[in-house]
Amino acid sequence: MKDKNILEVTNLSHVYENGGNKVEVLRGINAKFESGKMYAIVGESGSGKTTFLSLLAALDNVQSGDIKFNGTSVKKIGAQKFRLHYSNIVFQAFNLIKYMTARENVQVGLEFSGKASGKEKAYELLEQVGITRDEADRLVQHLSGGQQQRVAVARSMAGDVPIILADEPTGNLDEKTEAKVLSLFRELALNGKIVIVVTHSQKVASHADAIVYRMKSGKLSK
Amino acid sequence: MLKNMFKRSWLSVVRKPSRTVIIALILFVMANLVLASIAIKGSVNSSVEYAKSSLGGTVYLQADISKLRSQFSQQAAGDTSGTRPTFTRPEASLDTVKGIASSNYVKDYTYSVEARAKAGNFTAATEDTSGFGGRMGMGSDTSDTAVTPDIQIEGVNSWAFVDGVSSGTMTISSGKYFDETTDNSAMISYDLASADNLKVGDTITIENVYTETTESVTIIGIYDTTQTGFGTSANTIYMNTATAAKFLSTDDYNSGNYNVQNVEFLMTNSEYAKQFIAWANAKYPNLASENLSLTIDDAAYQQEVGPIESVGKFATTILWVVVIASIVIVSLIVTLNVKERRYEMGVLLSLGAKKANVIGQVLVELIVVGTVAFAISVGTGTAVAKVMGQKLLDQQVSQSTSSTANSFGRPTGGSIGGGMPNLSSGESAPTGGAGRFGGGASANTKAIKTIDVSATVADYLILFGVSYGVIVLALVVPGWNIVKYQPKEILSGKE
Repeated sequence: MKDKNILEVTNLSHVYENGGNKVEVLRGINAKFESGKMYAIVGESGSGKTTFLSLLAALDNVQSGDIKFNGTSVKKIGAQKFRLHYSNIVFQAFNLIKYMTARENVQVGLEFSGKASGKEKAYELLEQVGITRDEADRLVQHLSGGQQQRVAVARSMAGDVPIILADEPTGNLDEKTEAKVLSLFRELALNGKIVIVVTHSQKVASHADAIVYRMKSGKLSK
Repeated sequence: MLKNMFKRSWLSVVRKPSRTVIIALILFVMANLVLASIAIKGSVNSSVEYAKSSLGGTVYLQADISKLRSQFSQQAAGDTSGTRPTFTRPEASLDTVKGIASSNYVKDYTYSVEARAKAGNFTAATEDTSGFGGRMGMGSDTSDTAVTPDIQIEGVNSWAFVDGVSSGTMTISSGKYFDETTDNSAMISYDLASADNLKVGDTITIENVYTETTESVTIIGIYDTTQTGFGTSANTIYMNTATAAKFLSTDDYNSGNYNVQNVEFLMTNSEYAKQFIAWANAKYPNLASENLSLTIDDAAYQQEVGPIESVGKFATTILWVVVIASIVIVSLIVTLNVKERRYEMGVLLSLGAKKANVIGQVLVELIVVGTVAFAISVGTGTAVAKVMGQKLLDQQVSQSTSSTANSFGRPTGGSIGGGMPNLSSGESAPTGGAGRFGGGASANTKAIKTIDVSATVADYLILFGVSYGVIVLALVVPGWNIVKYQPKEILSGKE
């Protein structure tokens, strides 16, 4: 049996400057995330959730503390390499490349990973998230919000990375689509990924059937 | 990842047509102006080079006035007798002139032979010698002559080399003019001809004032002059140098190494004038001790190529302005473009793209659009260059003309292709053209008024080099914004 992947956060703190004042966004966070499980980080706006997720996705530099994947520090792995081979993030605003079709967006993820680059694989991934071939060949700006978010999820799946992160992935979606997207994340977790979803909605957290962490004033607690 | 970069670039170019067209238009305008500037500059350089070689440049061998003035002051200060110090006009010997003219820098040369003589079978015209009227009245030293001279002999290589002809103040009223091969022929003034009822074809006799021998010369032309003042005389008779030399003293004539005046050397290329002077001074160190100096007269060259050189300078300025403005404009557009596409950039980085890959995408996009724009400008740029070059030249010529008109009659230079006027006997007298060698800036000199602009392969290569350089430089600021910031900052628009 394959060993579990573990993403471990140790004493993580983060400060940013706002108008000359230093704001401590994260205060000594310790947490452990295992593969095969889905986590929900819940907190109010400004509590530090997104900053935490950015650090987990290596989109920002760790200032204090450490983040380790299977015991190796992300600093040691290298941020760019970590983003390429270990983690992927789904944004609230989808952040798809607008001048590309859904399939081309997914192909970017596939080609970056170097694991597969064919059109068929992209169609396959899109079909997994409920996007038909016809929809896959449309420019993403001609798709609905829910469809775009599903394309974003498919793109995050393209690299077959062990960590899937999502920042308010259902923030712009209706309830029905929200449920579909959350079920996709659940499925990813069941397939052995570490799935961490950041949301301000307790409802989303419980609906996702996830292990819930609460973020308050830069501190994380179960 | 590299293949994906090219693919993304291509998709971005074809699926964002409005952005592509705007950037293409800017790069197209830039490329046209760059090519026009380069082509104009190249054509100007060719024209200037041609002018340098064809117009040459004139070097005078003449009295060193500043040195003479200095010597005069020193003598006057040291002389307690109260008498004014006297000076002999420095003159070069014919051998020296011929020796200097043997230089490879010299395309051609000219000189004049001046002598005094006495009218033989005719009577010298009566002149007002109280003012600055005639040469003969101006304190001519007659102590060394057997008889008193009343005629001034001017021997020149060709009638066209006479100062009054080049300045347009002397014209032929009848007959024709002479050249170096027309021996024993002369041109007399209209006043003298009228006074003695002489006409073309008549033979007159002129007495050598040193030897008292008489020479017969045939009148082949009668000139008229509007020139007055010092150095003009109705009794000046023009002939070629060989004929004029017959009126020198016996010693001078027999030696064949008599002194000559108004020596001018035409350079093969005006650029060589300084080298030529250095060479001549080294070979003939006695020039300085004899108070002679070689001085450059490139007025004709300057006046002829002045406007077109200004166009060349202007084209260089345009090139720099266009390049700098293009860098700024393209940089601003790309910066705004990158800012607008920050989510795209951020997502690519979040997917693991290297920053170089993201910047590379923008660079490839610009290169694709730019290559199309530059390729089109290869066709249109030359046409723009032709129009722009001619407009600029017209403007410069117009400015040059008005400034010349306002310069109190200061003469302008010679015409392109000047140099030795190739005039044969029987032709009508030139109404202008070059001075002796186009030097002396004759009033009839014409500036280059047309510019034939054509782009060469080298110009096209420079165009592409400069244009791609602009693109790369324009990417520095937006590229730096991507390099400097973390993906999170780019996604949040902090950059």
